[in-house]
Amino acid sequence: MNLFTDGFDQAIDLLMSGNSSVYSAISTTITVSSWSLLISLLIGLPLGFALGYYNFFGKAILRTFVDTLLALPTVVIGLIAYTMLSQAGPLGEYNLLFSQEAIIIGQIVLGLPIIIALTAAQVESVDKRLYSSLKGLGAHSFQILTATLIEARFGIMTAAMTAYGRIITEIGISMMVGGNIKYHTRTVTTAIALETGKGEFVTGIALGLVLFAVALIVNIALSMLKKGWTQ
Amino acid sequence: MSILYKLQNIEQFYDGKKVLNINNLTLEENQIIGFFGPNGSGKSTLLSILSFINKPTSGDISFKGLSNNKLDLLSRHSIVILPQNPYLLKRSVYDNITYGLKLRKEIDNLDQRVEEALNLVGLDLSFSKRKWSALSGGEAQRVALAARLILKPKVLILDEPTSGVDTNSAQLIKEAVLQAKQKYNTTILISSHDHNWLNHICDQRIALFQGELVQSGSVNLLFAPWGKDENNNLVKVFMDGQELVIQNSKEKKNDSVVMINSQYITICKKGCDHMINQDTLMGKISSIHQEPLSDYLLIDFLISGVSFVCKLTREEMQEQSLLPGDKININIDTSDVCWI
Repeated sequence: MNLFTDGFDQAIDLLMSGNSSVYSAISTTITVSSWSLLISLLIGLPLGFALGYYNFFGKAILRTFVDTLLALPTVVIGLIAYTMLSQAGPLGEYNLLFSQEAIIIGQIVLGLPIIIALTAAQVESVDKRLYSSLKGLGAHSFQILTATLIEARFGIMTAAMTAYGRIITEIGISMMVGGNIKYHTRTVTTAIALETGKGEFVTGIALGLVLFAVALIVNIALSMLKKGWTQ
Repeated sequence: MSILYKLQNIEQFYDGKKVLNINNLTLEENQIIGFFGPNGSGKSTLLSILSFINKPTSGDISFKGLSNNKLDLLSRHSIVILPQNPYLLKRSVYDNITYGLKLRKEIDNLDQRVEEALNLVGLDLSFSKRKWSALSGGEAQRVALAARLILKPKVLILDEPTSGVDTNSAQLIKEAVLQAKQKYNTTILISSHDHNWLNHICDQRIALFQGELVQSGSVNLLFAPWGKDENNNLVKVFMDGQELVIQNSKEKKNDSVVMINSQYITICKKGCDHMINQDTLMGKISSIHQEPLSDYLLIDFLISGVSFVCKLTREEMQEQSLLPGDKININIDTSDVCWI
C-alpha cells in the first residue's frame, strides 16, 4: 500500500518540482496522442460513415475485418510500423524511425479501427427516419454525412474517448518506433516501463498517476461538452 | 394547367416483392392531390418516388418534362416531403426550421422567416428556442411541417401528416396546408386515411391498392372482414348490426376488397317509400361539399362509423334539403361492383 501512497506523494512532488524530463514525457504524450486522435478522426469518421450508411458487396466481410483490427496488439502494430519505417522498409527513405511522427503513424493504425468501427455502429443505429427527412429536405450526400455525424455526436464522442484512451495508454508502438529517447520520444508509458525496469516502482506509479490525471482531465472536458450539448 | 409529373411503367420491388406497379399516371400543377388506400397499398413508396428520394426499380418518371436523371438541383429543391413520423434533428426548433434554408444557402432574414413559418402552423416565435426533446408529438409534427413550409416549395408532399397527432394539431396542420397552397401556389400531394379531409380539399383523389392505381375520383372501398349469407355471398356486417350483401360474390375470397363507385349509391331523406326495401341501410350525413372541377356535390355519410361518399346534383340536393347530421336511407347496388 505504501507504494501507492508514496507514488501519489511523489507524483505531486514531481509535478510541483517542474521536473523537466517528466514534463517532457507528459508533453510528448499529449502531443503525439492528440495528433494521432485528430488524424484518426479525420480519416475514420468519413470511412465509418460510409461503412455504416452504404450497403455494398463485401460489407459484412469488411466490418468483420475492421472489428478484428480492434484486437490488434500494440506491440504487433509497433513491429509492423518498425518494419515499414526502418531503413530496409518501404518508408525507410523518410527517416521517420525513432521520431514522434513514427509514434503518431503507429497510433493512427491503433486508433483508426476504433473510430471506424464505432462510428459505423453509431451511424447504423441512427434513426432511419433521419435519412428520409434529410433527403426530403434536399440534402445531398456530404450534407447527410455531416448531419448524421452531428446527430450521432454523443456516440462518436464516446468513440473518440475510447480511441484516445487506447492511444494514450499504449506502450508497444511508442517503445518500438519511438525508441524511448529522453526529451524526444519518451512518453509517460515508456517512462513508466523504464523506471519500473530500473526498480523505481514509486516513480513508475507516480507517472502512472500523472497519466491517469491527464486522461481524467480529457474525459471531464468531453463530458462537460456533452452536457452542454444536451441541455 | 400544365403537367407536373408523368409516370410510366413504374415498378418498385422490395426484397423481390413488387410493391408498386403504375402503368400510367399524370399529375397536374397547382392542385391538391390525395392518395388513399389501406396500409401497405404503396402510398408511401409512391410518394418517396415522387419526391425523388427513391428511384423506382424500373419505369420512367418526369417532373415538368425532365426525367429523373436530368433533374437539376433547383428542381429537386423545389420538391419537399414531410415523411410519415418525421425526424427532428437533435437541435433547437430554430435550427430544425432553418436547416433546409441553410442547405440551400438561403440565410437572409432567417428570424423573420422562422416566425412566419411558425405562425403558419399555429406556433409563436418563442417556440424557436425550444430543444427538440421539449416538444409534444403534435408540436414536433407542426415544427417539421414549418421546416418544409419555410422553403416555399413548388411541390409539398405530405405522407399521412395528421396520423398520430391530437385533434388540435391535426386541424392546424390542415389549415397550414391550405395556406401554403394559397400563399405559395404550392402543388400538394397528400396521403391520408382521413377520407373526409381528402374529399374536402383535394382536386383529385387517387386510390391505391396492393401497389396499383385503383381509380381516381369518388369511390368507396370496403375491406375484410366479411361474413357469409345463406347463398354464400360475402356480407359486410356493420357494428350496429346492419348488413350489406355483395351480390354474385360466392367465389370471392374472405380477404377481398370491393370498390363501389359512388354512382351506384342512392340516398334519400324524405319521401323514400319508393326506394326502401329489405336491403336499405340507414346512415348519417357527415359533410357535403362540391366535387372539384364538376357541378356535382359529394355527400359524405357514415354507416355505423364506416365512411362512404356519393354524388348528387345541386337540384337533387335542394329537393331533399340535405344537411350534415341528417339521417338518410341508403341503397347500394352491389350487382356491378369492382373487385380488387
